[in-house]
Formats: sequence, structure tokens, C-alpha cells
Amino acid sequence: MDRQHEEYSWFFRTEFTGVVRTVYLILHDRQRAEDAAQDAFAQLFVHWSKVSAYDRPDAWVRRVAIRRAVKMLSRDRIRHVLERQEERTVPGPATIDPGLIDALRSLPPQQRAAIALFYLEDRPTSEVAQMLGCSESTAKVHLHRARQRLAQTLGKEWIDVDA
Amino acid sequence: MSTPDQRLRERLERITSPVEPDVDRHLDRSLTRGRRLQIVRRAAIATGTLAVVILVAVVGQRVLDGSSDRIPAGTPTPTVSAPMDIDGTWTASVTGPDVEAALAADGLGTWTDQLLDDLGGNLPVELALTIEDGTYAISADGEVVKEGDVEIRGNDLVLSVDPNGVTVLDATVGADGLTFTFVSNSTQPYPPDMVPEEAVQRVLFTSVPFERT
Repeated sequence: MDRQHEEYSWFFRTEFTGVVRTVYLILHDRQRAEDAAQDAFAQLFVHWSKVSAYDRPDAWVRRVAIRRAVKMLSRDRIRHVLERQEERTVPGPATIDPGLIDALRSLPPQQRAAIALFYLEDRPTSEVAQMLGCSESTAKVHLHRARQRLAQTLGKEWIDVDA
Repeated sequence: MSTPDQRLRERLERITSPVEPDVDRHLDRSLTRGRRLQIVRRAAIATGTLAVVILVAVVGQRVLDGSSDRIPAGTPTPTVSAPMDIDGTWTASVTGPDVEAALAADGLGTWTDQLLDDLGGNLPVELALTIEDGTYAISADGEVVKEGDVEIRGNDLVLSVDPNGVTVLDATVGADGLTFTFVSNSTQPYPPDMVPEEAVQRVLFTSVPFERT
């Protein structure tokens, strides 16, 4: 195995699980979260010589994975509206905290992604914006609206609406 | 981070921590898929290069052959353009008449009202097209509406619009900015009451030129 493959493999082992978990918060479907992450890492492999020189190759692969997940979800929503069906998913290993899952599921895709990046990955809004492909002010609007909606569902003791 | 936010964070971690993908299996699969994608990409580049070499050889041969095979005056001469410098962010402002004109010209005028509704009646709509690292995203008033991979083949941009289709646009960078001409779209037909993908693509990409920001 050459040096580039070694570096890529090391990066994959370090980052893959984290990317799948973040995407899982958007899709609530473990299999599809793994597929979206897999797609993103396959793209990363193609562009590895260039992306590995970036300051944050992890940001690049998350951005691609999240965009794929958001696109999957948007497409699902159109289909569900057309077929008048509820969102169907294959849940994670256990239905842990179904209340929170339902609350997240009520959010639009971009807001789910913003919540996953800001809270689960503890990223600043500038990076959330970068990964969502929008301006920082738009990312803040996504976060604010998501917080408001989660607070309505979960109660203000679980989320600081004014943060 | 404030205490309620910390609690939310802990709940999110509890939901996701049992998600443990088989990393080794995925790594093998990723390497296999990545290599396959690389081969496809290199083949596309090689095909483009070969076409240029053949074109140069043919034109060169004609020059060497002299007057016996002279190109008549007024005949367009084949040219080999430099690769387009298209990466970056481009913006455009689309008005209602732009939407109507873009659709009417191609017999898609029946979708004008529905598309204007989809745009929220909020016109003009500000489009921002970002192309970088083989991907594109186009947003309308800050909301990403299309995104995916993009491949540049000569003067054509091949955009993946969803898993079952691509859109091919002819791109020209000139004094007016970046102008697209619709070439084709291979998306599966939508249900009859839905706006066809072609109509959406024409409004987003071809209704007005984009300016580099």
C-alpha cells in the first residue's frame, strides 16, 4: 500500500464513525447514514491528493456527506408528499430517546444538519455554515429556528432558545 | 455552552453512540469504489485529451497538405479552447419575466405559474451558484435548491441532479458573465402534475447570465 493509501486509510478509520453518527441525526436511518458517508468517502478518495493538503479535510468530507443526506431527505419528503406517506426509516440500534428522535424528525433537513453539527460535533457557526454551504447568518437562522421548534416539543429545560 | 444546551448535547450523544459501523468493511468498500471512480474520471480526461490530439492532428495535416485541401473562406475554423476557469461563486437575479421567457421559449410555459409559486412569489430571486472541487450547489435566496457532482467536458457542464439523472449545460464565459444553454436532462419522468426537472433546470441555469462574485 502506498503512502497516500495509508494516509487515506488512517483518516477513514479516524473519521468514518463520526460522520456516520452526524448523518444519522439527519436521516434517522442507520443504513442510509452509512451509505451517505460511504459515498462521501469514495469521493474523498478520488480527490485525496488535493483535499488531504487542506487544513481541514474532515470538514470537506462532512460537507459532502451532509449534502448527500440533506438531498436524500429532501427527495424523500417530496416522494412522501406525493404518495401521502409518513417518513419511513430503519431506526438505529435501539429506539433510544424516541421523544428527541421525533422532535428532530419534525425539523427540515438543513435544521437537522445544523443541530447535528452545532451540538453533536460542537462546531462554531462559521463551520456549520461552511458545511451547509450557506452564509453564517443563514446558518444562525437555521439554528435559531431549530432551537425554537425543539423547545416547543421538548420544553425549554432541554434547550436554550436564546443561545 | 449553557446548561440546557449541554443536556441536549448529552441526549444527542446517547442517541448516536450505539451507532458503530463496521469500519473495516466500509474502508474496503470505499477503496474499491474510489478506485473505480478514479478510473472513470481518468478515462473521461483521457478521452477529452485524445479528442484534442486528433483535432490538432487533423488541422495540422490540412495545413501541411497546402492548397489542395484549403479550407474555403468563410468556413468556421475549428478551435481548441482552454479549459474553462469556472470554479468559484456566481450570482444572478431572476425576475418573473425571466422565468416566463426561459420557459416559454422551450414550450414549457404551462409550468410558469407553478414554478413562480415554488419560488414563493418572492421575485426577483437571488441565485448563487458555487462550483468547486467537482461539486456544485445552487441556492435561491440562500436556500440550497440543487447540488451534486459536476464534471466539465469541453464546453459542457455535466451536473448530477439526483441519483437517476444528469443535466448537461453548454457553458460560455464571456463579457456578459457565465451563460448556460440547456443541452439535455436524463432524469426519470416525474409524475404528470409535477414540474419537470428540465423546467427547473432552465429557470435556475439558463434564464439569466451569472456574474462572478
